[in-house]
Amino acid sequence: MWVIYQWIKKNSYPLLAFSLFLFSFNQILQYQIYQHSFYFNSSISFIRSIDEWRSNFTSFVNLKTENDKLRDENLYLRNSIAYSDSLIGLYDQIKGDTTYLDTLSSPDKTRKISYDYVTAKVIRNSTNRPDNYFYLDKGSVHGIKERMAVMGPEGIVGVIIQTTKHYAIGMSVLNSKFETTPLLKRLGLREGVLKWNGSDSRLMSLDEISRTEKVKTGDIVLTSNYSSIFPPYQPIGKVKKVNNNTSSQFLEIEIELSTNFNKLNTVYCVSTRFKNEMDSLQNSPLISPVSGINDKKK
Amino acid sequence: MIEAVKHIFIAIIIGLLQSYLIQEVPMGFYLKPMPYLMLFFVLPLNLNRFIVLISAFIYGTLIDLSSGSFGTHSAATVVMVFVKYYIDKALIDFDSLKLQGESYIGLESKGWIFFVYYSLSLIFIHHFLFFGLDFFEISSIIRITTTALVSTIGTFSLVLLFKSLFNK
Repeated sequence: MWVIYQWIKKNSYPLLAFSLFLFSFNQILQYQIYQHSFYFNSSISFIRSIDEWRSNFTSFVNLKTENDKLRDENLYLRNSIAYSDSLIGLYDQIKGDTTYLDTLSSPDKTRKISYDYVTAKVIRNSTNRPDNYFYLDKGSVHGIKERMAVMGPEGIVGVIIQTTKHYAIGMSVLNSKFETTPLLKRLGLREGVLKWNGSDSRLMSLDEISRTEKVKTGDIVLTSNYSSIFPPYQPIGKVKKVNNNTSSQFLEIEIELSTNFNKLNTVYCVSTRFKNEMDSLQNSPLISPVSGINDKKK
Repeated sequence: MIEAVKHIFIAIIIGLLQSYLIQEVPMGFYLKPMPYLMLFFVLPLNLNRFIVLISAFIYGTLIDLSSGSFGTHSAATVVMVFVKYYIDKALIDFDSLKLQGESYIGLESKGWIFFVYYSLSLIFIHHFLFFGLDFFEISSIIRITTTALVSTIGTFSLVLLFKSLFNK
């Protein structure tokens, strides 16, 4: 305190001059219109820039929390949709309308098969092997089961093949054992077999599509309702290249995947509520293996 | 005492002249003389620095009130007087003048050439700050400098004129 007093006493003359100058300057800013507006506008823009900087910084710091919140909210919304769909299905059942299962075949009608979603994080992932797998940070205690579909925010990712209590292993679509029948949205075509050719993590090949089909570059490829694992009409990718100059009767189609497997982080594991019923039909001894239901592990 | 009354009288006369005559006469775009600064060149140099500083503030505020330029004159005058104290301290040997028995230490003791440089530089500091605060724009720096330079010459001429009048 004594030191402060001494310092003030020593510098009293400059301090007094500075105070008087500040007082005068304050008068200028307060009472002179031009100076006042200049000061007002400058201070407002300065405060705005500080606010913007602070807001950007806070957003950046809270990015992880915000991301978690959004993921939870997404999960909640997806489950809400699934729940409302199941209610519609139930309502139709009560009414005696048993056609709710058939609505799967048409994208225009309301989807009435319901799905359960579990969100998870990819903790390990490979893209450079002939058979790629990924590991999730959630397992059976979180509701993850084998043969659940795994979807990313951009499109399909793979299938769960094994679970432990707290972890799960999934077969990536970038796996030689993975096959599915996709839907070509523009043509409404549910044909062919989508496979990974093992070279590029962004490309898959679509085989067994007849040369008569007019597939074009840029056509959207979705999951079809023939799949017992993937929910229908989920994005897979788009047609990148079509080669019809082959000697075979099928086209050679290259599909560009919408999911970037090198940046895979958050995924949703999806299971159909009627999956057991569909599986029991599929395994019925009365019928030979159904060609449409794929996604099989060889 | 007589000196104090004389200075108050000078202050009132120059203040009135500044407020009601010089300020009202249009003298061109760049010329805005402020001869009221003469007061600080006739005050004794050994006067208490705090009294000079506060009187500069009050005097500047009174000029501001009469001219409607709230705070501009007082801010510029306070800065000029503040700088003047350090220039005086550096250039004038007060102790030896006191030993010589001088009770009133004026600028005359240093000669006319010193007075010209001294007052011109202080007037320029005042005017530069005054017009800087008046225009309040960095982009007008050339105009501020030009106006300050031209007005410095105008003010200095009037200061010389009034000084010779009051000396008589």
